Amino acid sequence: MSTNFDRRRINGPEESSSPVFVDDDEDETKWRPGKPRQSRQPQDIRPIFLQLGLISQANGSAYIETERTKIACAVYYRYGPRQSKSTGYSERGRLSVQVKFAPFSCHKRRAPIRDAEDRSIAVLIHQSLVPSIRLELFPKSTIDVFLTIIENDGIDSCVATGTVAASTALADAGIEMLGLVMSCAATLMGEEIWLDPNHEEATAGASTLVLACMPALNVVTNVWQNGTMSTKEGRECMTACQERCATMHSIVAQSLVSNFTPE
Amino acid sequence: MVADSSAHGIGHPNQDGRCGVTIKYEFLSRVDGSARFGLDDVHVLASVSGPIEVRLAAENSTKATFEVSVRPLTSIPGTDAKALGATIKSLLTPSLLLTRHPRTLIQLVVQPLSPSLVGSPKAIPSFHPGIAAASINASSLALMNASVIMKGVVCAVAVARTSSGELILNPTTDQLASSTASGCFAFILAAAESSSDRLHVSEVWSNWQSSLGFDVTEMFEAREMAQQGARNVWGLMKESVGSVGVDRSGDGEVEVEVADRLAEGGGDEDKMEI
Amino acid sequence: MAASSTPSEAIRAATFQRLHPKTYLERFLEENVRPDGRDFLEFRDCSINVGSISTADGSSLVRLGDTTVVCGVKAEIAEPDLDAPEDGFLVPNLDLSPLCSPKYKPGPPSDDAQVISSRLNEALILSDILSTKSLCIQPGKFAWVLYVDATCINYNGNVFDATLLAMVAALKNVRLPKATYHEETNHVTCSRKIREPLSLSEVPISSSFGVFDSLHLLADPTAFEEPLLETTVTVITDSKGRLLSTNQLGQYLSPQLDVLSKCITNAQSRTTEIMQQVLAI
Repeated sequence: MSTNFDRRRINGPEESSSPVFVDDDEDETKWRPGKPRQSRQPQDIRPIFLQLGLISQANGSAYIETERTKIACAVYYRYGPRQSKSTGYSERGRLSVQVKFAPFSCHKRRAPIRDAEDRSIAVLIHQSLVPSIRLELFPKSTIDVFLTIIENDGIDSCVATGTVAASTALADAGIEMLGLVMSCAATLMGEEIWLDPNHEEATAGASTLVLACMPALNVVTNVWQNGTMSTKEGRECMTACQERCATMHSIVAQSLVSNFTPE
Repeated sequence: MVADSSAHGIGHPNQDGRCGVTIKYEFLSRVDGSARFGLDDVHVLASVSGPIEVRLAAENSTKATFEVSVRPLTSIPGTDAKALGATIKSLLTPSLLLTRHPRTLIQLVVQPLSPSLVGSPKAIPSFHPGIAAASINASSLALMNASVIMKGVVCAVAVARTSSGELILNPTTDQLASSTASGCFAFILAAAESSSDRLHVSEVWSNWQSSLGFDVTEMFEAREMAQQGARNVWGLMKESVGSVGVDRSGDGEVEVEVADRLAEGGGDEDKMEI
Repeated sequence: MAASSTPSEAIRAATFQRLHPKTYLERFLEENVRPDGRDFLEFRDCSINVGSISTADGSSLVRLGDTTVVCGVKAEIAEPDLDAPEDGFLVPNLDLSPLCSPKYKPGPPSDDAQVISSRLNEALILSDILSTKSLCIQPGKFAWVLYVDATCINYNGNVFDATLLAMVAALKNVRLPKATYHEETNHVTCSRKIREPLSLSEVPISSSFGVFDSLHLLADPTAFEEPLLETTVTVITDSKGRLLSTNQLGQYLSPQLDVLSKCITNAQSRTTEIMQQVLAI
């Protein structure tokens, strides 16, 4: 149930609720916890579709799709003072990351109000990106990164995929960086490590870990772990993620090069 | 001041329940100009403040910032009030010489005093052409009352098609509710420099809609009809500001307004100066 | 145009465009071409994709040139209004987020978004696209609410036309779960497997135009052209090209240029083209 009256939007009824489905469990083809992974090996990631420069109004942009995770990202770079009065003079540039879920992106409709989840994703992506950007070259300015999640297939997937999209869009905008940031999620499924889990897998797993790194410099920029895992398992997850990030890095770098047109 | 329309042929003399046009300068004390325009059962109050100080973010270095907000009779302003406000803003803008007051704000508030369609049929969703027309006319009067410099006066009328296919000017709310097509048309009218009986008329808004579909010729017919209606409204407005007419400098209006103000028993004259 | 010139010329042209937008556009129109190479009354290419978002009950992606709008429909269940016990709800909204254009700031819907949402709502109601009665599950107790949410991904002008089309396409793509009302427990259960399309009666198609400098009538304006237009015209027709609504706003000084008639003729032929794409969904 959600009450959502907003005078700035077209309003529906005061309250509405998601439909209750009765034949959920009848679908035999659906993956269930305990079964082996469908259509890919534990160490495989989903195929990535990446498109650059989709948003012509932005300085840089990327659209990324990994099966059912779909994210659009735009980078706006403004030199000079911004209208916001809260930000004072700063020698270094500021990076601002904002994440928005489209109302239709989740199983339950997301009323278009800001909630805690989009902020926490934004913070994680921000943490992953900040070490890569040469903010000292952008005094007094703000780099705005906006992400819209068009379809959500698990929070871990959103954080990892969103980070890749954002770093690619920053490169597309011509922002100077030390290296591209790639990110990959892993979940502990019994004894196995499953990389790049989707929503069902991530919820079924005992623990998830999202790693962001700059493969070109071989450094990690952010690790986010929740659930229970041993240090050894954590290290294994990190190594597995880092290997995948290296593969992704070469693909993303390749698409950036092929998309580059000298001014 | 109340101008009665019966002598001017606005509306339909043979229709029942019509009380014609009422124009009244309200002299609200906290604004620079205000007026009420009524036609039959639809009344709208508008007020203008300006030129006043503008927020830094909205400041324009070459012209005045013009803001319009519509406050519905009931509940808080929603998206439809925003849409009407945006329409009124764009159609009044060509009539205003905003470059005369750079770095200032001219603020117009429109307050309909009549309810929108009750139990509105699908044909007219929340949009009431009669209220739109009265809002535009009240806005023009309030702008004149506030001595905002204008090139001409924007006058608007509503037109509707009855279920029998006949076009009627200034439909009542009941007629709108049973209409099969309706719309609102607005024009800028300005007296020609040389002779007083010639008018420059140019269209600023034409809106015609029907869920049953319509014909191009019908829409043009409605527009033609509306133009005549707008001339009548202009005549009434002119009468309401006195025989001096709409003077570009605004001097003519002040006299009339002051006289009216004294009759209403309040206010100081100095506020009228810009 | 810029492709054939050297890089430094392209930069100079871009600077000129920003500093003197009006003159920039004038120079092009004098040569009978628009900055993006189109003819005055030419619409940009349009593409419609549907059903790619699995979390929505119906979805679409519309591209009008590079203006991109994604629309998703989510169906929820609510109690009908007391005075309309058999009517469900159709709730269309457009989000213009800071992602799509530097014009928009984060926060609540901008004025533009509110105005366009309101016009979209009017257009959908006017065309009677979907009878809200068909969304009734149990009179007075339960009815479907269709939240039709559109998000602009790239704003390059004429978002109204693109969004209306995206909403129409998403509604056509909706497969509503079969709902069963249980009288004993007074609740509704749904089936994921048995789904039905909506019974759409008519679809509205809109075509927008603008007048520049009282002389030039331009179809389907871009984000660069939009603020320079003194008059805008929107014509909404049904699938057969029958007129549902015309709206001309702003002053135009030369009555000899019969803008509205021209727009209507163009809108009707465009409807025929677009409808072929819509019917293919």
